[in-house]
Amino acid sequence: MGTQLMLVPLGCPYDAAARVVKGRALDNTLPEEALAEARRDPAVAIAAPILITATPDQDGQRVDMWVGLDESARRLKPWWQVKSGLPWFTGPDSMILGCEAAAAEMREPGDKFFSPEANRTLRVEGVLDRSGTSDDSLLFVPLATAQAMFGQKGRLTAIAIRLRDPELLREATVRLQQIPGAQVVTLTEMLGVFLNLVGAVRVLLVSIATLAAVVCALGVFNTMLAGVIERNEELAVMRALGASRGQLFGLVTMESLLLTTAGAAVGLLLASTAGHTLERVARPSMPLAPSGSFWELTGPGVGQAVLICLAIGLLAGLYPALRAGRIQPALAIKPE
Amino acid sequence: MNWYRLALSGLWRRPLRASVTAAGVAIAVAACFSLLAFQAGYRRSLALELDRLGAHVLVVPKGCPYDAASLALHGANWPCHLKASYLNDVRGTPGVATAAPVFMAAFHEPAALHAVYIGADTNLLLLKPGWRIVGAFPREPGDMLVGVEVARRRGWQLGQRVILPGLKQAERKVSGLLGATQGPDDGFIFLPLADAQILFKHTNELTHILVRLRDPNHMESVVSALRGCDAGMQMNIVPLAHLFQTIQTLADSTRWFLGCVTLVGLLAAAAGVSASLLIAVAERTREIGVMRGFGASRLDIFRLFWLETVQTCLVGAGVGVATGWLGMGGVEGWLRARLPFVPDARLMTWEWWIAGACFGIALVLGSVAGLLPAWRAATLQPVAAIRSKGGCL
Repeated sequence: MGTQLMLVPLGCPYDAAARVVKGRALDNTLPEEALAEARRDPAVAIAAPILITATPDQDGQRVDMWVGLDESARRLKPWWQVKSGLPWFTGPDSMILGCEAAAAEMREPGDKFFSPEANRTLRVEGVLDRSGTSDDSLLFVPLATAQAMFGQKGRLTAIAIRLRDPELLREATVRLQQIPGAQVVTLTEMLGVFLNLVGAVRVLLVSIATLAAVVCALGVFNTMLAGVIERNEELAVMRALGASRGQLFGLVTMESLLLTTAGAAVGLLLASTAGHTLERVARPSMPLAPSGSFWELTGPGVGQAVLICLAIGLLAGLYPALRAGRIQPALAIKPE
Repeated sequence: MNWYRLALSGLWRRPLRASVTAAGVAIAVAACFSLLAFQAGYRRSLALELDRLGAHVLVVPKGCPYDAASLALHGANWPCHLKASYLNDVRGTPGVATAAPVFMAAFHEPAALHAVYIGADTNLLLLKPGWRIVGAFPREPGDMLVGVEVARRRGWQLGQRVILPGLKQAERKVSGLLGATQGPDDGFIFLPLADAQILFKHTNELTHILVRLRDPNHMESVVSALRGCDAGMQMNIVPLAHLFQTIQTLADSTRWFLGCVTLVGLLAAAAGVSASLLIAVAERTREIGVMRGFGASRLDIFRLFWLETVQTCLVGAGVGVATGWLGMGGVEGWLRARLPFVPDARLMTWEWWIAGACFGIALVLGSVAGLLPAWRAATLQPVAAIRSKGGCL
């Protein structure tokens, strides 16, 4: 990990994060003096200032995230790799794009980029490699440029800090907490809270989804049982012609599995076609939504879905199959 | 009325199938009920809890204000403190009517009886107009006020001298008993501010300041004035209305997901109902033919099967709502253990409109699910139906 702790302005960090994502201005920023103070601290190895500004697109569909960085940020981001162009800014009017941002804006290194919000033309110097993080959709400019573009002279959104030694975390936190207007958030803390929230939502979703699966299982059970009762005589004839109990049991179980497999196939097809629409619908009502697509049909996901479907088929088909196995062959020759 | 009974008897012929189908509906409806009850209850109890605090703005030490607010509401040990001198800055800010300094500390005892101490001065009383105190609010060191829950659990009486739990040497007199507030205050022990600061060796330190404004409509300007005051760089100013909104936004954003998944459950239940009624139509093809032969119209047959579906769904909804209601306590405990920022008051509440909405949903579901089977039954040709051996659908 590059960063161990962040200095953020007073106020709630989640609130701040939620505001940035929704493209609203932050209430609070840090004064630049905090950076100098942080750099003076003996435990701090690197202190990288960041200014994040969000500007909504003209049509309001997307939010451009502008990030102002200075040279120290490069040392915090070992994964900073350019796909094409130059690896760093060459002057105040240069910018570097994350790979998704470059694709969305259709820009290559060397192109001009005009920002109507700040009324400034910049030159794209480089495009970053895909990193799978939020960096992919950001627009990077030099810190001073960002401060000038958005009227935030001498202000910072946050300061990312790496310590000389992770062991110093506790004492450094106490000292850094004293910097006026700033508070310390350790990344483990932040991650913990976010994971907690996501975990809570996940638990709720999974439990309701389980109930839905149980409802489906009851439906399959009913259908299979009715099928067995309907075909009582047919099954009895099969028994009379030499089919064993096990074979009838297997037959009905097979049918149940086929039914649920067909259901799984249709369901996956539906998911692969309707999933993206659902994402578009859900996105506006989500705070802190990651910028990339969070909807993906992964191999393990598909495998899990199929396995669950098979398990439902097996379980729901159990009693009907047992009943089929118990049918007496004598039923076949009984008059109606 | 005859048709209703006929439809019911049709269902009763296959009790296992009917009950399994209804159980499916019941599960989906119970999930739906729990979700609605939770959404309504969570919002209400959160508002209630913040309201009981009596403050408009909470001043807490640096660090996450959510954690701090949660500590202030529920009582716990604080990791960091405010300097008592900040209080003057807060009081000096225009627009601040009352600023009540609080020092809070807690002990966790092995027997799960934890003691939460609040050091406060009489300013606190200005924030809590609803308090009914028997005896007096503690003003002198040596006195204390105890919440009704504490007095009941520990068997303390007014005027009794007791050893403070967790603090072996300290003996205090119960000078006041706080009447039931139905909130976390019931479980707190209130000491004079200076006494608490000395007891916990944090002289001249506070954990938080409760601020009441002259006019809550001027929240924005007062908050920025507080942030701008001399001590403003050393503390977090948390307007509780914002806090409420942010927590609510978080809760709301999950609602869509949960709602979607619940909808899938309801649709699955509807599909189950539809399938089971289609089977019933197939089984009773001959019977339908005979009924038509005796003069029943297409509409009659349609109505018969449609009623069966609706009845299944309504029975399912009844069972589901009842299960949801009975299981509310369990679900609440389960949720409480998993959700962050949970208010102390009841999370799920019974409300008639929720039960009504569940029945409404089930009715609509049943009506739609019943259309296909009922239509199939109604369009059977009487003669062909009588001749058929049944089960050809």
